Amino acid sequence: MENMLDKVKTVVLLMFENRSFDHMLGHLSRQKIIPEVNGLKDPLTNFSNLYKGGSFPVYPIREDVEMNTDLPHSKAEINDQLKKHPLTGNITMGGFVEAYAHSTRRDPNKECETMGFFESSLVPATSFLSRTFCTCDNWFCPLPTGTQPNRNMAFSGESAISENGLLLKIGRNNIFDWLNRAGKEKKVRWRVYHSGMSFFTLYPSLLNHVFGSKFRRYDQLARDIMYEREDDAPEVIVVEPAYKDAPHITPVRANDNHPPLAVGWGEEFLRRTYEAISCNPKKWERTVFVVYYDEHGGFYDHVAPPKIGYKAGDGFQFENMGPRIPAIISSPLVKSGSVCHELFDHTSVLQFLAEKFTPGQDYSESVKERRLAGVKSISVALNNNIPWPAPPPPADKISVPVVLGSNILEGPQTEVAQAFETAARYILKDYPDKATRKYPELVHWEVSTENALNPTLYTSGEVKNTRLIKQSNG
Amino acid sequence: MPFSNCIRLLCTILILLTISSCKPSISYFRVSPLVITGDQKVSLEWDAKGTPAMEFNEHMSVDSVQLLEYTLIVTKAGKEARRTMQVQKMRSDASIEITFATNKMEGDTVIASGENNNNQWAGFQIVSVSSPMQREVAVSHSGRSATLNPGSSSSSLSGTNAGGEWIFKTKLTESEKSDRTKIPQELKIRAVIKPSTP
Repeated sequence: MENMLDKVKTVVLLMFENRSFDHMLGHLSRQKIIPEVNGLKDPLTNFSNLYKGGSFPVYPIREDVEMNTDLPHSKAEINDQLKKHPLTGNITMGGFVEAYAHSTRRDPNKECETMGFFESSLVPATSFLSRTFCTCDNWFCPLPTGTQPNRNMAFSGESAISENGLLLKIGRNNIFDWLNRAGKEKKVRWRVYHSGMSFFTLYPSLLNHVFGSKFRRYDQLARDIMYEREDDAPEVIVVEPAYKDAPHITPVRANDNHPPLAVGWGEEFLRRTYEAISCNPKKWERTVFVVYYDEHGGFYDHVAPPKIGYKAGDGFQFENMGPRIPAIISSPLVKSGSVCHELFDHTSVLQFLAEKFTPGQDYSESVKERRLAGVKSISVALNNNIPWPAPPPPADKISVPVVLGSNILEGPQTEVAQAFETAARYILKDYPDKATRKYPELVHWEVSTENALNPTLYTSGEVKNTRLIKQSNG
Repeated sequence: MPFSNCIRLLCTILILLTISSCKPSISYFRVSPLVITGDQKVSLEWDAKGTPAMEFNEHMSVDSVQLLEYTLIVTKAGKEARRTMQVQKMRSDASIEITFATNKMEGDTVIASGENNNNQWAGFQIVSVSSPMQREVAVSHSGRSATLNPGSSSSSLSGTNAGGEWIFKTKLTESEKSDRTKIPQELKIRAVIKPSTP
């Protein structure tokens, strides 16, 4: 083990948004790409939900189009989706269609969106990484709730909140401050490459990092990997996609895979990120690239999450983990086409960082608790001593039928989008120089949102001006 | 409210009405009936703002139900809104499975009950019912009841509406009584149905 940890020089983390394991990777077993993966299998009727007397099995999605709507995935809705059996108390994973019907207030189609899954051809980059490296088929999101609490767990091992909120709190065990404290002789080098506004902008206490030189634009990633001297290169890299919920005014399209987005954008981002990470063969030999998702986003998964609880800072007691999410460890240090069935959650990455940078010490008390409850470190997946080069990703064209542009008039449509906008306004007001240096596009975004409040006769009126409605109501 | 504020509010409302009228939207898209037999017609109704187009696709579901899929796509000012509705197409003497999760115990009997979707099945009546499970199931529906043994069918519920409330009961086996985790998670019956109006 120590030998394998010594070989690791660079850890890269890429977290996408809101897809379940069966939805993205269930095809691996059904299409016999990796038969031993705990995914979907024929007959697909064995993977069903019941609703009003009818059976709603999983089904292959025929075209990667933007969905009509986001899927339900609040704390209460996830509780409905997990659906504990009233007689046995077991989690059945049987309430996804019912939660969808309640959320949309419509009878679901026989092929209900929450039960759809992608075959390999529609997720070529994800499927390629899975079949080429190590698929983790027992990785759950730590908490059965939404984005922010799960990201808190991913990047600090604890969460002050059990549901999404606005300007967020994160403790001193956040990954950046932890890494700054971790090195014994010298600090651990780390960096964030963000494609658009970073998620970490939502944490006021992290703004000193966000505005610092360690947060860089995504388009610098390949250059840095290729040319930066190994002694200067970061040992931990967080890569961030362009979030659907973040303010957008640049040509960069949202590619975090958050529904209702088509996943083609995220597939292209994943392909390009893998290319960038692996472009320097010498560095790649010692790189561990983790691709995972913050939470399941309302999509069906057939595996009941383990009963490992957590008490959030607001006092809410979770009794079990959230649904499984897709997770892939890409590295020459894993065996090609391997599957890791060990129990992981997002804190498995933090355990790994502690093994690497503070050997013999846990990352934190809360991460230790999860370790003692059975959650493993991702280091158990590193079991290959024979170096092998990074194969090129599929070069096929990825197409997404698209309607251009969400309009600035629409305003934030979700809690997380509201949080992003609140953070944007906060940093523009309190840190105008730093904010506009780091995110120059926010200047343009602010002008546009102001204009949206003063529509003229020239406003085309393509979408409902919810900003103006909100102001009128306010 | 001062007169100038009234004018401002009126202008705002007018602008909002103008704006909302320019966005493609689907206020409703209804398809009926949701289940048809061979030669029945499907009626489509919608209220939408924009230029409508209808996309049609016919395919089998993974559980071998023939699906007619209608997607209403409304475009306006370079934007589109879409909504998909699926209709199940069945043979005139088709059989369906009605399944409910078990939700109650009475002594050593486990019960599953619920509504078989009235929106889908109100236009069909029961011809006969049988148990696809390897156990005896007692069925109650529309004031009538039947006991179904594996492999046999009953016409006791013949003529009742396929939609509405159903109750299924079955006795636990010795092994299920001793280990509650083995209690059946769901109970199902198979029903041969036909359209209520030929």
